Amino acid sequence: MFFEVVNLQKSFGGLKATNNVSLHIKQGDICSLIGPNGAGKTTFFNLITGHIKPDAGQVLFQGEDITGKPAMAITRKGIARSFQIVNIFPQLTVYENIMVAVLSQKRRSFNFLHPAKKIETGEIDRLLESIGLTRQKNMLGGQLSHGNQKRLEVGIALAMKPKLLALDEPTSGMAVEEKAAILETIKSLIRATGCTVLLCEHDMSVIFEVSDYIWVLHNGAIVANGTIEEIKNNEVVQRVYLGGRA
Amino acid sequence: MPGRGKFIWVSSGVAAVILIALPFVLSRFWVGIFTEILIMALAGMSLNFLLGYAGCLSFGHGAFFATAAYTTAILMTKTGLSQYLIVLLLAPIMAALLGAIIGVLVSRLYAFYYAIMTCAFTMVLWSVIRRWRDMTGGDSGIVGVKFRGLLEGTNDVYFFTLAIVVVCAVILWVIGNSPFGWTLRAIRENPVRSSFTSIDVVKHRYLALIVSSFFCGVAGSLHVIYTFGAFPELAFWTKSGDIVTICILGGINSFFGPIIGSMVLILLETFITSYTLYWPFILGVIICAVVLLMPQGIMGLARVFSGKKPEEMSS
Amino acid sequence: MDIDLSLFVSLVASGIARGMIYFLLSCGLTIIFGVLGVVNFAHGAFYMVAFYLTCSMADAVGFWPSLILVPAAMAIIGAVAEMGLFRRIYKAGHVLQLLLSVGVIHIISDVVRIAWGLDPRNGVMPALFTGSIDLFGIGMSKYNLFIIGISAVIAGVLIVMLYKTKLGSIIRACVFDEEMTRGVGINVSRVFLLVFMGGIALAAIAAVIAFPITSGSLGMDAQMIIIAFCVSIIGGVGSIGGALISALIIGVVESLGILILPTYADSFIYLIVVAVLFIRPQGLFSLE
Repeated sequence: MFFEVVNLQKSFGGLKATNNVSLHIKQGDICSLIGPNGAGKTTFFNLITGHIKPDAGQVLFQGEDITGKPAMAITRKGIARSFQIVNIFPQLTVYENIMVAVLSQKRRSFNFLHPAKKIETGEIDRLLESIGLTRQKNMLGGQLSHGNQKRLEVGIALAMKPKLLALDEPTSGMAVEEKAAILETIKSLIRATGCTVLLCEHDMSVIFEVSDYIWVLHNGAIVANGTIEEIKNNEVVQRVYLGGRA
Repeated sequence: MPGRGKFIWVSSGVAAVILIALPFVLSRFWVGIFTEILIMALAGMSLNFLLGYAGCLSFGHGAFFATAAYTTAILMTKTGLSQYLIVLLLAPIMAALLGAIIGVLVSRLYAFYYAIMTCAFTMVLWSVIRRWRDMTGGDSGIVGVKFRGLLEGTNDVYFFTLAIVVVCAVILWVIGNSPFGWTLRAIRENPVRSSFTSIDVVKHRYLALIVSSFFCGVAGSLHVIYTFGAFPELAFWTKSGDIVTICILGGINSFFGPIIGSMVLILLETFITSYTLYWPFILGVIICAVVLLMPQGIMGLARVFSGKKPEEMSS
Repeated sequence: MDIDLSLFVSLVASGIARGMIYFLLSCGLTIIFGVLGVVNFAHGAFYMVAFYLTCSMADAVGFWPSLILVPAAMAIIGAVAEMGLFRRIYKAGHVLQLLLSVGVIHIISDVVRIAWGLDPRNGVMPALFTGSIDLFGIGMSKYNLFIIGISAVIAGVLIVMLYKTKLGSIIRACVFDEEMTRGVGINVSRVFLLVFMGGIALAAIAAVIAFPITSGSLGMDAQMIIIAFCVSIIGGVGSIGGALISALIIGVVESLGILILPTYADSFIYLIVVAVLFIRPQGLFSLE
């Protein structure tokens, strides 16, 4: 199994944010994790990407146990993540944001002799093109519009050449047209790079457009899983989404 | 940005001419002052590498300065070694060694703990220096270090210092624009995101400290030529505080900030101490004013006037 | 055997006394940090001013009135510093706060130098406490007992105030959630001012209590601030209980350290801080 989580648990004080979650992802799939606000999606992302340590359970990636490893190591193994709340390098330009990620991916971050801006320019430009930020190359990250910042988010994650791309609410906070645009970008990127994707969203229309497989999270536990059709017709899911929050 | 590039070349050229012509125009006293300005500018640039690029505030750079100064003084008085150029290489290495040791302990720490612990280290060094009388001459330090040949006249000392400082500045500039330098900037901006970009934050900070301590050591060694000795006060926290002040005054987001800061601080000190005994008070007021009114330093203000954002870290 | 024991006990006692002084000093620092989020590097400088002020006041009106007057005067000075300077950088981040404190230190040190000169000043023991008394067959300095006693009382008052009074709960609310506290109509700025004044007053009390057994000079602020920060860091910033325990540990270790390695005894504290930060970077009893 390409990516597997077994009985993952995490509590904060008395709150069980992640309650015995088990799921798996097939290689090449676009897998979605959905759930209402507060379901524990971001905590789950934090657990599998090394931001926080689980209390119990296992995270297995390509057969290797990566449970509890630090973010730096997990990213090196091929899982890259974008953040729901934009987490870029605000005082660096768009170009520099991507540059730093690319240099790190190529293990050249300790190189102190060459001028950084002359290295790997081709690859960086290509990445900028693929996320649609070529024109904004020299703008500071912090000056970009929200939508463009989210593109940059994805771009930084992609620069790590991940095998598994974990996108935490990539369209949150966006207007409808922007959402469609960034979805197109993400879809073409996935086609081009062939990486597996774990997507987390609470906007169902986005999910139903791209997913190969869906897992549903509610109050920290998995309550349903299946293909788009199966989920659309699932009673539990309808209750969870219509009977309370959206 | 071609316009800016030209501006740097032109102003550097002008600065170079002024710096070289200085000793022929000014009195010996002022040449000495400018020598000190150059030395402290280098110390400032070394700290700024750590502070402006990596975002680590060290309040203990005096320790590296003092270590190199004492190494220089001890080597030149107690051993047969009189070839200064070799000493100039060994002393910063000692400073970098100290940096390597301290770095193991502080590189994981959050910013303000980093500052307090580095301050504590320099104070420990200060009390060790004062007590280790056999090696360091205790409270009175080491005096009467003699330099022969090239390093005897005030002007010669000035030019030598200028040459070394320029070489070090160029090296720091190159490192600053390398992948390592940019990775440090990313770490300063967003350490969490950096670790999600597979960057080993602690290791990079550690290396940055070693580089920083090495060049601070060069400044410390040069200082011995200027003062003919090494003294415990170099390790007292106020020296570290001065180096930090130089960086803040000049602007930590600018490579040339420490140069400006050093010039302004030392010139102010020279002028004001000739009129009054209350320099520390005035220095305190200046620091408070800078922090409250222009935290981006002089270069930050200059950028605002030229229409750029003061936070941009570049030249 | 007997002599060793009494030496040991009296060293421990003087260590505890010393620790209590460190506690009072650090308590002010850690409260200011915990409630206001401000790194006050100048805390040691305020301590120094209090010490020199005590020198002059004890001369003029005696030790006992100084115990009230000096902290009161320092609280006013603290108020001025808070309103004029520190208030503006609450949101500016620890780096800038540290730098501002450095500026304040320069100002304060120079004022002390101008007013009192460069010579070291020795404290004067109040007549009531000279000498020692026999406690269970062991000679203990009367003054050490006084220090321990009065510090314990002050610590007690502090804890009662923070946990049993309305003001205390307001202060704790500010730590917990400043926005909310402001939202329910409490003048948070005034609370901050009071807390800052209180912190400085605590440092002043520490200075007055330490006065009879201290020889002070310019530069004492540097040593005291490092100790205060180390105590706060080891105990966990914001934690009064933590400050108390770590201050006592440090006081006793320093005191006994004189027995083992006299010349470097005051460096033990650094080893402890380094060790603690290595193992538990947020301090022993931190709120985090």
